[in-house]
Amino acid sequence: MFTFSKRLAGAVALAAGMLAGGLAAADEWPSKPITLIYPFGPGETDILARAIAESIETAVGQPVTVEHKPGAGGVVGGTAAAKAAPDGYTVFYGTSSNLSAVTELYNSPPYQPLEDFEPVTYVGDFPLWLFIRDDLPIQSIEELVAYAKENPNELNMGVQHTTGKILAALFEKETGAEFQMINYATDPDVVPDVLAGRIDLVWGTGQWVQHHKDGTVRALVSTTSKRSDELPDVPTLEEAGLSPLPIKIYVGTAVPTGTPPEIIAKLNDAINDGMKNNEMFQKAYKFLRVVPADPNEPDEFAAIMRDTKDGYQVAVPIAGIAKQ
Amino acid sequence: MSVTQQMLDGLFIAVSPENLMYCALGVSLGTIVGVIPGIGSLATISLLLPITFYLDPTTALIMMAGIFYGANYGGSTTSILLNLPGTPTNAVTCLDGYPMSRQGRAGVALLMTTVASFLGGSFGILMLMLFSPAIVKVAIAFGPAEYFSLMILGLIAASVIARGSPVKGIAAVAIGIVLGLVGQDVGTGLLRFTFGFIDLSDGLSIVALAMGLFGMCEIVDSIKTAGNHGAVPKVSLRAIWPTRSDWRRSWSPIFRGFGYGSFFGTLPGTGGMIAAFMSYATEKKLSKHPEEFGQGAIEGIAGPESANSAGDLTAFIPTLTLGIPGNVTMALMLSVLFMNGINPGPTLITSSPDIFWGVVMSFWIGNLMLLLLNIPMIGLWVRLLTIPYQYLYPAVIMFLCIGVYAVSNSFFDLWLLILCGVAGYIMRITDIPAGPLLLGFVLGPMLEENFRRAMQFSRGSLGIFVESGISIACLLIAAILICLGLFSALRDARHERRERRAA
Repeated sequence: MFTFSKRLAGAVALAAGMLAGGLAAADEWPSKPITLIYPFGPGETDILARAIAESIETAVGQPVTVEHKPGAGGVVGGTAAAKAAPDGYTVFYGTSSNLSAVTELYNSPPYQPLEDFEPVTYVGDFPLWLFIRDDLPIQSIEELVAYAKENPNELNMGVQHTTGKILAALFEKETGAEFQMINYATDPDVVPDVLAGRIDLVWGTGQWVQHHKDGTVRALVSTTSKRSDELPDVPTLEEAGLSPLPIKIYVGTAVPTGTPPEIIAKLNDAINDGMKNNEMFQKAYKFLRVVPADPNEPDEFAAIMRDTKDGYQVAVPIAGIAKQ
Repeated sequence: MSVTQQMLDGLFIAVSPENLMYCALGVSLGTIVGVIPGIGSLATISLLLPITFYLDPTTALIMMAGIFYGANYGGSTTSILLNLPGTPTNAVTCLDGYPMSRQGRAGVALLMTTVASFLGGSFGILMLMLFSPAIVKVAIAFGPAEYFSLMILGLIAASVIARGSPVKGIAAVAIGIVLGLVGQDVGTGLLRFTFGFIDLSDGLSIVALAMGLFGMCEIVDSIKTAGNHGAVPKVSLRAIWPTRSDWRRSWSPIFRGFGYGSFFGTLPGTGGMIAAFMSYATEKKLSKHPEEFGQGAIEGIAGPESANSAGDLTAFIPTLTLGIPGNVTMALMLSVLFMNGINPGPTLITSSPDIFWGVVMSFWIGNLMLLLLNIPMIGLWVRLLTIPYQYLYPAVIMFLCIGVYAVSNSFFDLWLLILCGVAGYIMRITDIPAGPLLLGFVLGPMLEENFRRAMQFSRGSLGIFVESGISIACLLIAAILICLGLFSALRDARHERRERRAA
């Protein structure tokens, strides 16, 4: 009896100690540097990743390093992040392509975004505009649709990466106009062909606004929900009488599933704070022309991830992209 | 304000103490990073990008540009000494630079490449200053059909590069093209030859391939030559200076290299490496002693080095005048301008002439600094060769692995490096040349992408390839090269038959 209770006492003490240790670990987080996995190559949008890293660092005091892990539109980085230990020391820079589109593009995806990741904060959207070459006489989106219907397959539309393909296909389906699609790998590849007059139209990201300002191209319509401050004369899809995009091209942060909720809450606060106050964030928003998100909680981001996934489910077959 | 005045102002900006310091820092860092195999200017610039946020944009650009064109100078060093390209662009220099080094002429080779790089770079800067608008117009005129024809020409030239059997040269190019197909197809987004490895969806890493085929296999090969001596016994410093015959033979290749570099540097998507290969192929074709190529012909390093340095600097033409980055490194540099609210489009020269001319003038300074920096270092590099293999090569392997890992953070690429090393060794035993393979790897995907895009533009008609003068010209030259090659092969065969009959 006596020895049993001693052993019992010992076991209880051990359990209590471990419990306390576990709680203590959560309280102590972070006690070593944190890694932000950025699943793209250097210099694309990595200023936003650095802004996120800085925000977390300012709030929690530990250094946050941005680790580049490029490949497959963000999926290689996603695979690594999904496998990481859910101890709050790995944060993932997630985008619509690696958090929502994965299941729609791959038959056996290397990870299940909605199961393997827990959302933290939604950071913003990448808006896109339809740009037309300036020397073409078409002035508005209505004119474009009318012209394209009369002259199907005449206008050359530059299509880069999956998002561009989806946008172009949805646009064609909705308006009934037909364009000749010309495939490119990245945005900069299209520019020389636009300058030379070979490409007439392109769905471009914020980088193209520069060309609009130079007068090389003109924006006809934007995918945002309200008009951008920089291009106030350009109507949105809804204003032009077209349905808005079923997919949001978003950016956000996520952590591997199983990360303690207190840590997620702290990260969320840190990033929300940074979105408002951090200088690099402001620079990133301006430079990338990202539409900043309002302060938000993880559930809101979760909803966005899910809705976008549903959107991709609809859009991918329309765009004729084969699952592999 | 006249252009001359702007140029002078730019010069004043470039020689300010801060800019001088960052220029020196940039070119030194570039040289070091170029020497270390695997790590290149891209990795370095992306690592230093956060620092540039706090610098004046002109200064930041001066430093980054210095790293970029400095890497080229350093890259040829290991190509010559160890048959290991410091950066993939310098792979061509291995072909004749390394044999020269084995003949005890490492110092000569190093000096010649430094001088050729200096001259090529200077010419590139001149082009940038004087002819940017005209050059850019030509570059824009290259649509997919023209690119396609140019690539055809390039691939034909690639099979000329190798010494030995032309059939094996063509085979090497073909293998390279097939390897280039690995990855995601641009048009359909389908994955090809990835065998389920998601790491392959962006293709094989060119750094791993180049380092593996050239360098790693050299190391594997050296296992055969057991013994603890260095690669070459002590070399006297006087052996650095090239002979008069060396100089005489090098001038024309250097001048021709100017042309190749300026052309391919400006054309987006191509660059110094292709310019270097084309220069090599041309020099081999034009030389009176083509059999020397691959054995230590000085034209084989003078021309290509001049070409790739000119190419590096003319790559700034579309970048600074149109805002079109010719490669990822240029895109990084542009992002610095963007973030400071400066628009690197056609309006840069007019709206921010101080930035444009400040940077351009700094190129002169940086180029000169590189010349002055590298020449005294030659003696040091040559002494590196006297380190016994068993210490040198493990260190090299370590740097290789660091370099390959640095950009992608991927263990997969390290395995690829080892695999390419083994493959490179097998190729060496079977006498399949690595140079043409690398070129095929680079040009093949461009060939396919541009063909399909041209067909999309032409709505399926093949006529687009004979519509423009440029395209016709390239295809014609390619056809002539094929005919010449066939002709000389037939003639050699007939010779052989005659000799056999006579014997």
